[in-house]
Amino acid sequence: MGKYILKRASYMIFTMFIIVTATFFLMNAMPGDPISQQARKMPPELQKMIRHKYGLDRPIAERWLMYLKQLLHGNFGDSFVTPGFSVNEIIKYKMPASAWIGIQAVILGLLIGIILGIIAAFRRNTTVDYIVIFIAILGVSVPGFVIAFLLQTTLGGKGSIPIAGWKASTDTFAQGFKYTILPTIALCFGSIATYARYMRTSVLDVINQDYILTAQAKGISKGAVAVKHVIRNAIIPIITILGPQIAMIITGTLVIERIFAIPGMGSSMIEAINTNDYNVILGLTIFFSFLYIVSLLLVDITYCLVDPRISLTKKKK
Amino acid sequence: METVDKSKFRIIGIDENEAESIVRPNLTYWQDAWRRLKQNKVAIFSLFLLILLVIFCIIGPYMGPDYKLQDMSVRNQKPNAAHWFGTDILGRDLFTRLWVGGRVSLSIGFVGTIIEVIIGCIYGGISGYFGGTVDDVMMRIVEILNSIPYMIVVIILSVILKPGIFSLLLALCITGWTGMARMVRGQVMQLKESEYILAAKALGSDSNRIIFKHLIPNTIGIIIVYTTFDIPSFIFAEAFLSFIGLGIQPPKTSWGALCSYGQQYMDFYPHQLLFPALAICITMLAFNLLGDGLRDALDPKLRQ
Amino acid sequence: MKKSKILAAVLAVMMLSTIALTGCGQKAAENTKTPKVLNLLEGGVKTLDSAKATDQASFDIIQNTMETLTVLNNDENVPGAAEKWESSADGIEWTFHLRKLNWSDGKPLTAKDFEYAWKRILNPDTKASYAGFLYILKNGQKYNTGKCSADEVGIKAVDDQTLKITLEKPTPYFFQITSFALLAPQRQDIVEAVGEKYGALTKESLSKMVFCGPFTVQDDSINTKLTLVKNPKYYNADNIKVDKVVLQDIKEIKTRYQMFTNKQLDAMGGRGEYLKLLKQGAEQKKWKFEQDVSPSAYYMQYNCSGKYAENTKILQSPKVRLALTIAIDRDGYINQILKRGFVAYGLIPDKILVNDKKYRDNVQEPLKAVMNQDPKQLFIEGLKDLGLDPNPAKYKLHFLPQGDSADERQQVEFFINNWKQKIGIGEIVIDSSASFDDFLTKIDQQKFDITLAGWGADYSDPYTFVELFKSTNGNNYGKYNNPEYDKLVEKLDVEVDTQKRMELTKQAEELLIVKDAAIGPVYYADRRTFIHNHVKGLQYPSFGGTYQLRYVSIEGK
Repeated sequence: MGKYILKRASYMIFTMFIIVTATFFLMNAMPGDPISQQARKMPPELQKMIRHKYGLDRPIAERWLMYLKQLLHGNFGDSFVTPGFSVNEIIKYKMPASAWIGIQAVILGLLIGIILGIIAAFRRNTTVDYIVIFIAILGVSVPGFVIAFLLQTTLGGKGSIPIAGWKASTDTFAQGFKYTILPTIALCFGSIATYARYMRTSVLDVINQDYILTAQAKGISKGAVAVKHVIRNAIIPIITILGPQIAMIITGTLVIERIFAIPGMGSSMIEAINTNDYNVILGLTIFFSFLYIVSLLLVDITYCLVDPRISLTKKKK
Repeated sequence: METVDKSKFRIIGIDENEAESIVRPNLTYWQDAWRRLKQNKVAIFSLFLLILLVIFCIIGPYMGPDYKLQDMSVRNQKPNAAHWFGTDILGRDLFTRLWVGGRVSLSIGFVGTIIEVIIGCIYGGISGYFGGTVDDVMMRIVEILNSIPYMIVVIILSVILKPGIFSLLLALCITGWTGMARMVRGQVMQLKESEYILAAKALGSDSNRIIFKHLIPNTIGIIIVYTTFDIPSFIFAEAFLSFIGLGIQPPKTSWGALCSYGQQYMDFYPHQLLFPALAICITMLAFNLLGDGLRDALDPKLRQ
Repeated sequence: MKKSKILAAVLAVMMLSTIALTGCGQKAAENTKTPKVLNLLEGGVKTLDSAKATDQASFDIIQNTMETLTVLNNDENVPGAAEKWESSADGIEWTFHLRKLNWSDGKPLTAKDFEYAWKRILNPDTKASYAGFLYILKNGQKYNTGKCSADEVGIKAVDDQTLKITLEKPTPYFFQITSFALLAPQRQDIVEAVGEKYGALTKESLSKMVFCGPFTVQDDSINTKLTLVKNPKYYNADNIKVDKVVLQDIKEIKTRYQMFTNKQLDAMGGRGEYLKLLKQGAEQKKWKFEQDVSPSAYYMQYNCSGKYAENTKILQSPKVRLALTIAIDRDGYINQILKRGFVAYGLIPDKILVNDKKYRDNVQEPLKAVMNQDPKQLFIEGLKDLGLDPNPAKYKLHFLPQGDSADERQQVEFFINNWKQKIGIGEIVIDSSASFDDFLTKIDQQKFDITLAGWGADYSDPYTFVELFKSTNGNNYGKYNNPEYDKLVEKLDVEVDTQKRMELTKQAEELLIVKDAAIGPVYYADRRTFIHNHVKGLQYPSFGGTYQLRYVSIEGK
């Protein structure tokens, strides 16, 4: 296992290099540059001077080498658009809020989703099952903003749950918790549906396997069969989607953050792309892809742990 | 031990001619699937619902005023006799717009998903089945594709390409298939260790046969669930892409675009969001229930 | 069964903890004497460094935490850091006499702080986007482009209380912009000690900031939620009536409305359907309603070069362009679709002054006189002038919307319908831009036929609008080129006399909009705000930052 992880880590460096390079060149192919939007109010000679000062008038290959050199020193660079902010600081300031809500939403969503999925599968084709399917479909096809808005109108402002906003940085965890209630519910709503549906299908697959029949024939109690055999085997597809989803959810969701005015990462990337804030785009891409790749690695490792049949290293038993 | 009286049995003889005949009709895989699907009333109802939606998308636009016609005297009307689903901010009839939009959304949903399933299955199947270096390389490509910010790719595509259905599908599918690929890979990795694959290998089946005859049919359940979840995301993504210049341009419309328009006014004119959202929901519901039925029908494990 | 119990338990725990937590919060608040807190909206603030700020939100915080030479009170410049001032007869030399002021760390504010701040904007190493604004100073442009030294720039601290400014040429709007937050003073020792991070909204940088205005920024602020607290060292602190101002960035109007009605916000702007709802509330006296023109104009920009798509050549005819201008149903657009703004028949909005007189009070909007013409007839005449087939149905035009939002596209469909119905143009295609930069690139390269463009005034003088369409101006995207117009703009640049400026502007506006129809005015932007009854004296300046918080008070909340 240790060797396998080491191998994956070395792949990771290579993968990240390709990602950075591709993003760098694609980003430069987009219309405009970091100066172009403010340039409307600048005299032409001033535009030229500022571009020169930032080195934007140099050939793209040269700028790419400069960026790589800078990366080797562990420096992501500064934002062009938000003066005095480095990319590290943007992540440091925006990440906690997104991660907090994201982690809460994943836990809550996973818990409810898996339970619903199991209930639905064991009571297949009954009313309970149909209700779960229906909730799941609603969860996926009703857009997040509608749910968020409904939550704000029904629960917001009642019992001093804030409609929107975020704690001050001096507030304690407990004081800040009330701000996370509505966004967490809104965010996990969609994932409940996803987990429930996958879990249901997967449990149904497993129930029909021979080893379940064997287990039942051995006289193991229903509950023990469910926990020891069914759930453990059925959870694999959930793990597949869970990895990338966690990476995605803790790096922020645009819609939820907008509606609840949360100072998170969700809008950072979009904003950076819209303003051509090159260093921020690259820095965030590195950060996101690192999280994503690590989460995929974790998924693969969890595979082996959960399902003894899967071997990652192609060794013959 | 209880004993059974021999006199209770009687010899009925044997017809030598029938000894070789097979009582159960000889059904192919697909015939059997269809037979089992027909027995599932919910699935058949969903199929019927989908066909109905398609029919309405074909004839609906001719059942009311022209979908492009702006009439400032009837702006933002609630559903009524003249405008069954009400009107929008420019006074256009939402009933006909809904069905015009349905043409675009349903076809994008179908075609996009089919492309995604095909690419995802082949890619994931190969990666999961062969494992080792092949798997490593193929999965790194997926990681790279998913890590390059999608917005940048889309902006560049829309600068390069002309708006149209092809650009739209390209933008939708360029990374869309990777989730499916990973899913299939995970399943295949699990299944390839099972006994019947070992048996197939022992009998000398080649890889192609094993992937397409054994592995893919056995992952069909998960594939269908994934697919049904992807249809609405295709529908919503289409609206976003059309707004930045890939795909359908006004005055044509789509369900996703209608939802975006409706969203702005949802607390004042909820019907403007309700009907397109409902259309998406019904499509989803029908797909899911049909998908469940199909899953049962296509799953070789459930074949009796 | 067991599982649903677990679920219920989890939910119950969540609910309980919520109640417990909110309970604690309330108790804590009751114990202390309630400070007067104002809750307002503000977009994401980028920096507190006045030299590097480019957005309204940043300028807003700066203007309320720093004291500029003059400050705005109901859009009028009143003494700020400067107690009194005088200027030479030709308007080139200005002398400002500062009052005794202190920074929030107790050190005195001197004329040097102004000199340093203004020169820092022009210093090429600062890379300030707004440096062009100070090209009005003598040698300002030369210094900024590295052609002379800082000493030659026309600003000098004669002594600690006297600031002498020399302009490049007479500039009628110079005095007005002395209240602009860009021109706030800066402390050399602090700026140099903090370096590149000066003004950044990080805890570290904020704790090192010093302020000289009525409020200071609390150092737990982040760019989407800032807390301003009253500055006890401010010279006029006795007249600052609120203790704290919380500014939050809330983007969704639905959320804003919810918070406003729950009194979690003290003021909000209204638009679209919410405007109607908020107005009803104002009629029931639940809150106050204020409306005002804001000095921005929106207009159809026609591609006069006529070099884009297949039929664009027709846009070379002024008659064709005027026909398009006339065919727009402005009332329908403003009242029924956009639900904000004011109908425009000219380029210069209501607020804009020529010296001390309102331009619009003296000059009628030029388009009003020709609105009775038949657009279809005019269009056909235009086609004939160009020697083309006079059937409008045979032509196709492209409209390029600026953004990619849903409502913007719907609005474009409204204009297109106007043109199709009233003129009978065959087809008008809606093009798209992939991003705002893509839009800028496209209009810069004349890859459009028609687009809805807007311009916000930088200062209160018609020149800020009129100069846009000079043939050499970088913002003249339609490539409008008339030597007669250029001459008018050049004359206007140096003319000081009020009456003559008025007349020149009138001629230019008439030429631009009616005779040449290079642009088609659509609407002027507005400000429609709703303020809770307990808030008094909250001002929204027309130029610079969003709020003026020097005169606000909270009574009987």
